[in-house]
Amino acid sequence: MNFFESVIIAWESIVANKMRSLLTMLGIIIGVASVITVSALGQGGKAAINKELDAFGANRFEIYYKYNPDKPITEADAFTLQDVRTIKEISPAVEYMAPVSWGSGSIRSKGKEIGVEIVATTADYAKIANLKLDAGRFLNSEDDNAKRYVAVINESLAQELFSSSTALGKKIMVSNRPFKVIGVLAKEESIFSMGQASKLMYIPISTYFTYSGTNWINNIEGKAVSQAEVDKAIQHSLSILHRRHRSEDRYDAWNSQKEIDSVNQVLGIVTVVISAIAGISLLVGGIGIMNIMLVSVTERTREIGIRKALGAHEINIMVQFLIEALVLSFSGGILGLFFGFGVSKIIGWFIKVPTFISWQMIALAFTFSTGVGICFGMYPARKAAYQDPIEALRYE
Amino acid sequence: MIVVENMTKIYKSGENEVAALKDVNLHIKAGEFVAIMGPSGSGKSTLMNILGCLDKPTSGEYYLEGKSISQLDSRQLAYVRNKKIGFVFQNFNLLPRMNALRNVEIPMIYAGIPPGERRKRAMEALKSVGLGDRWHHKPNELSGGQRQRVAIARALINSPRIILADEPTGNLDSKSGAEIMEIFAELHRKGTTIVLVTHEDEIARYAQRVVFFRDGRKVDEKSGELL
Repeated sequence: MNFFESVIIAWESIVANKMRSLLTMLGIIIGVASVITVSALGQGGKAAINKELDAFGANRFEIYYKYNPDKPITEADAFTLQDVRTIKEISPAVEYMAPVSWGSGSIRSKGKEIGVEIVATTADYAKIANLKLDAGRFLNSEDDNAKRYVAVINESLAQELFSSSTALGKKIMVSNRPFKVIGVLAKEESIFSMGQASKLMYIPISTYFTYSGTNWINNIEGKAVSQAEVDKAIQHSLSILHRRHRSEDRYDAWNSQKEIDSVNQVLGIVTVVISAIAGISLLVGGIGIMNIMLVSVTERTREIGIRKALGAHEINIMVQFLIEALVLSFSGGILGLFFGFGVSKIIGWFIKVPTFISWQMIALAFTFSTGVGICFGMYPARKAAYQDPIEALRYE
Repeated sequence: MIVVENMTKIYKSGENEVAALKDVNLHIKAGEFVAIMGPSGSGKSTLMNILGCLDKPTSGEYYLEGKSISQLDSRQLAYVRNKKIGFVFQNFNLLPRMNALRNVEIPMIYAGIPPGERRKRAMEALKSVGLGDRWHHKPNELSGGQRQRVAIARALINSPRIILADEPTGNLDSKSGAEIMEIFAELHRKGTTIVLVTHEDEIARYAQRVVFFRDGRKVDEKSGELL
């Protein structure tokens, strides 16, 4: 009796009891479906967040004033444009460096006031923040040196004021000062920016200092030459700043890698926890299979007796019932896979997270469900095989 | 062909020991048609189970074609049941989910015969018992006599030398019973050894020799014609 025939016999028995078989498989279906759903969303989400953080600027770091209620920041601590130039010159780990001042302004358009956030910075910022332009160019050093009234606006602001393609070269009045639009940023696709995107304009920091009457720099942003050099770039920057300002412990730094790591860590924990729950549901599914197989063995006691009288050996009977358990759990695995695929797509669509199902995950789910079938099918199969044929034939 | 020497079978149920067979001696020659008669509890079913290698005696020997059965392991016993012996039961013992053809195929599955040939041979066997046009019917779609004919086709499918029939006509009307007995008589003419349990004289009359059992002992032997 070959394997293929055993599968057919097992399949016939499963089809003969459709409802019961489906209920038996339910545990496995739910188990596999939850493993697939969780991993699809987890891996998809992880990839999306990593991509996001990458777009935010790989190897990016930010230096800011350290908050200390006992020692407030003073004029002497304030970042200067010379600090930025010095760090970029001295540290071999730093590739780009830019000062950032945040301001706000308002633009009159179509009879209403539009609030706009102003980012005053230098040419390097585009490289650090990985900004993509739809049209025109970003700020350059001449803009800064000449204190030009030029602006790069983001897509959201461009849409508000003009249709974005025609924004280039237009004049906009920001708090009664005319700025010429020299560039429009590409639209950002982000899972973080839900709702309305903020309206941003980037202007040369020297221009900002001139008209605002302040020299205050909010923070310094930089880009390290490589992933491995981020920590060194931060160390260099902090020590140069402290030396130049003859101070200690006044500045601190942040970098995106830490963010990526913590997001991955949280996602990892969530995946492990939910996978454990899914594992428990597979275990329960296995017990369900054992339960039904035991019922099936009892119900078919007579059949076992007949088969033995007609020349079936213990092994034949055992293999038959084991394969039945296997076919049940394997079918449950396939149904669970499709179910999990559908559920993850639906959930992913609702919470706007892409899904990703890896071959490893599919293989793992199948291995596990098949393993459950073998483990929990073994006892009923043995019980069937070693039944006394005379007792079995007499069974009503 | 079949030699039983000083065979005793004791069943234990808790403290009690019940001797189902006591010191039985029986010789059945190849090609013989033997009927076993006796009241219920006389040990005839126990004897049939042991002859069919479904059970083992407590003491005594059973030689089948000169080989001692007590020496065989479970795989060899399964082989004997599969190839050397064909069972026919009172309640037919067909598998209800399978059609007649599939039922007849079962012994060939365990004999390792490939599906194509199995189908062909099962079909021929059904034709030979007059059920060629009923091969696709399930047992519950067949009459008692037809079911027993399927069971006989199944018992014969691996060409066994011995047929063991335990009250094969017990659940049949007399007309169907007579038809079944004609099949056995025909098998006997072709040289198959037949051992048949019954408590009906008309059925036992088909046999060459009738052996009587009472309380686990063989008590008498007669020629079938004398009944």
